[in-house]
Amino acid sequence: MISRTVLLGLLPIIAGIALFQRRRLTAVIGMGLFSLVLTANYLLHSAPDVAVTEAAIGAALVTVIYMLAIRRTGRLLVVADEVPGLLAFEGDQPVGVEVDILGGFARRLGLDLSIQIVPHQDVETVLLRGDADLGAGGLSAELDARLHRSRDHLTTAWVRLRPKGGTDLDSEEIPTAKRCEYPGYFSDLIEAVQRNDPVEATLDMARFLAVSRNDLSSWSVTRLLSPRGYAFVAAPRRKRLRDQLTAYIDELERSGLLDDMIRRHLA
Amino acid sequence: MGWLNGTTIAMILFAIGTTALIVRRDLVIKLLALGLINSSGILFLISIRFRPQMVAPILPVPAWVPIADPLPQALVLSAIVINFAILALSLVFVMLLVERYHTTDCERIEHAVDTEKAAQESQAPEGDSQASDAERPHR
Amino acid sequence: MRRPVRTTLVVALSLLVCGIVIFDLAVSEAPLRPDDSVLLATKTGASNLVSAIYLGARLYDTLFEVLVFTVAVIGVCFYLSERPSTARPSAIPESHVLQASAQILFPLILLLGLYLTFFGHLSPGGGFSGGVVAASGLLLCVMSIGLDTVYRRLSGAGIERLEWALPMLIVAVCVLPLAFGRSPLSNLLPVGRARQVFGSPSILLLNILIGLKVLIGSWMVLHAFIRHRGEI
Repeated sequence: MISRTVLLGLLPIIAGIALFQRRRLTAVIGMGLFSLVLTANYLLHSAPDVAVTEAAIGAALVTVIYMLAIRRTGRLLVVADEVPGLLAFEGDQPVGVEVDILGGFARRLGLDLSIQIVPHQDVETVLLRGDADLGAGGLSAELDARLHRSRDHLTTAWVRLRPKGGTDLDSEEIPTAKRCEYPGYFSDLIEAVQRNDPVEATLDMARFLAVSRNDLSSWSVTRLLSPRGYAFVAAPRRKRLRDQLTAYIDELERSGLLDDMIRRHLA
Repeated sequence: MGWLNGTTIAMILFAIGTTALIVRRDLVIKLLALGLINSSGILFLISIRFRPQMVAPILPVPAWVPIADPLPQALVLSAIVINFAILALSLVFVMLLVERYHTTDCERIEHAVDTEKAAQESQAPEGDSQASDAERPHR
Repeated sequence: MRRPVRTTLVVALSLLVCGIVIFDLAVSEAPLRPDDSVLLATKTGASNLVSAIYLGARLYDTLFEVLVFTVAVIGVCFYLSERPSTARPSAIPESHVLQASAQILFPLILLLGLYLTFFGHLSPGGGFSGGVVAASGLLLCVMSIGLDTVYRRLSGAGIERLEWALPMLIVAVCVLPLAFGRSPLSNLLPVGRARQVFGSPSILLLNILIGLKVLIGSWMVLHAFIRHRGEI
């Protein structure tokens, strides 16, 4: 009699604590505990059939299924924009220097590599939001201070592309640029160049090499000073990932594999 | 404490479940709250025909002892198993959503769906000269 | 949902619950009617009155509940099979404690599931709980020796054909009394003495079929989840 009342009173307490937790895992385990106490309640209400069924389902199977649903799959999420040579998709497969580095790194960590293509400007926002682990795709600019930048794996320079005509270009000061800029996706820029649209862009060398396969006679190209390097950036909570990645790139450079990759894709 | 019987506790659990369903933004917590509402309904059905001196509805039982009513128990028995199956199906949908939008926050998913729909509607009248955002390679 | 709407809804719901609680306190208790439970038990031959109801008197409801379960399992397997699985189901080297204890525990859990199924008409249990307990035993197996091994030992995709055949068998057991001149959904086999295992063979048969159905259905759900998300 008393135990029935006590167990009944315990139910809303457990449910209230379990459902208003911050972490999902704690909530799932709390609801498993709630199922067990509910089983005891069914027993004390003279319903043994229901109690056995609730014990088997609520405590065992439901908890297991929630655990499977909320676990992070072992994936390394990379957001990038396509850059031929560094990270580009040929059909279905990603190909490039950065793909090789990231693929080896993911294998080293025992994760699957998953690359998502986003516009160049969105890499930073996606990383700050925490929706991805690493940013790639020829990042050579100085990004947000909260993001962790790995070591450079390749040096580059910046080039400014402007349509010819207009003001006199030779006597212009070298403009300082904070980041690579071009509208939208990189493939959009290539199509715009092919169509001879008057676009302006600040590009790093890998992108410029890809663009320069087209006819650039109606653009002027100015090389900007200040050396840059391509690096990966990690999301704000992934500092350890950045350290592991830096160590991995050090290893690649020491063993000469990094030069092989560069020669294979960018020669 | 005569009011602390199964029916009132089941109503309180129903209220907690509904509150959690509305207030929490995480999809998995919403599903947990739905499960709690299920369990509260089952507890209500069982305890509404329960009196303190009853025994389990398994014969043989002496003639002077009242037996718990087997009918609500029979109703809810298969309901528990089916709740599990339906929960598995809804978790499949939650997993598919999470894999597409990389978040379990329902407001962010709604926002992402709205932006995708707006992007599709603004591109449909212009014709399809470029691939839409939904077809960007994502693996 | 915006904050004022949400708050209003929460407050309204809480007031509703308080109102119901107060109403419940004010309503007097209704007297209970005498049960005709002994009559139910002798008609179906089951001592467990709950089994006698949902497998004897209300078999029609159970039939459709089995159907709902089947549809949900089909839905899960369909939605999780058309996508390539993103996680590599890696063979996690499990600790020896888990493997050794699973060797001892799995037969016991399976035995418990069989007992609940076979004696469901005499003591608490039944097909639903027996099937679920056996499925959790299978889950223990998967955790200790890996998903692929268990999948192979359970003859792989052959188990799915059994899963399709079982609802048809259950419907057949419900409809077959027509062939003997009785109405459908009544007892297929004659009722013997109460409190014997074979005292109500039709309820026993239905328990076995439902237990198999729930076991295979839960196994397929778990298999689809684990294959899609990787091992626990």
